[in-house]
Amino acid sequence: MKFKHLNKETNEIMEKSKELKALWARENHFVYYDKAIKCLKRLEWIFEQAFIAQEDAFPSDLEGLSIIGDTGAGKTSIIDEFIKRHSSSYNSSYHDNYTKYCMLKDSDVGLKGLYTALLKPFNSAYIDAETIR
Amino acid sequence: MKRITVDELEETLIDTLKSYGTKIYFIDEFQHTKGRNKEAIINMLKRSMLESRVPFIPVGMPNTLQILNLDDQLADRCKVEDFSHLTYWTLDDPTLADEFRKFLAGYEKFLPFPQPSNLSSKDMALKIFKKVEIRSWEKNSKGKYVKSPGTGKTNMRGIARFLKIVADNALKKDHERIEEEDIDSS
Repeated sequence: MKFKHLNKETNEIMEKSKELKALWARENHFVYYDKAIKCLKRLEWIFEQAFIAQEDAFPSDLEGLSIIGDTGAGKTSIIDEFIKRHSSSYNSSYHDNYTKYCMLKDSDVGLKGLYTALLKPFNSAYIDAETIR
Repeated sequence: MKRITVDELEETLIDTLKSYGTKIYFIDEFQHTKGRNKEAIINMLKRSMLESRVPFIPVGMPNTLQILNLDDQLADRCKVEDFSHLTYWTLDDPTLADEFRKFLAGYEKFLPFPQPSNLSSKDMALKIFKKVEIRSWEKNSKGKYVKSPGTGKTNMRGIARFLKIVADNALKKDHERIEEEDIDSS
């Protein structure tokens, strides 16, 4: 690589126009820092385990992970990076339904609200709260 | 219009998770899980996770922990690890200061300048930190809103946002790298 202080993608951008460089600098870029690497590793483990856990056996090994932190601490960027790397456009052996994401709103109150929110990413017919009794 | 019950909804969720072949489900802004019966909600999440065999990943503000702790089993299945508790960076704590500087070094690899800017050097990191330190707006004695003194903390989003502006300014000035003046003027 010509510019050793830059990564491969940015080295390629160095051959482009000033405008494209500016656009590149404005994009969101994921930086692998210690906690992010550990989170992604654990998420990868959980993801791989899920292929086994969906067998008929009792899901004794079924585990998730909670990611917590104040606003702007980097939670969403870790999730985005994981989902991006497990999408069909990134790896053709993956199906886009493998990873699902929902964002709860302040108004998603109670069981009905929660179900509605959890079903929404699947475009379910049951997302209209009016139909829930 | 046929009305469906919450039991039917639970069944629908479990069936949907299974039939779509979902392997991991991120539930963001988990702190919004609320209602008159939080225990029932947490119980439902645990049941849905176990029956669908799809791991849930609750994501949220630190008070998410209090909600998860309502059920020992769910808290155990969806643990908060040291590394999954993301904190703000500060220069007072050597570990966090080191992480902050490593983040700067990592981010610099994405900034298209022919010369290294050495953002993670002690001086540059301190200069950046002062610019991105979290401050709030407070009312002063004259009733005017002014920025509070720095909190001594900063977050990833603030740093990334600032570095984008700094890089843009430096590119516009045709600088070979990010100079201290680019940081000062941004």
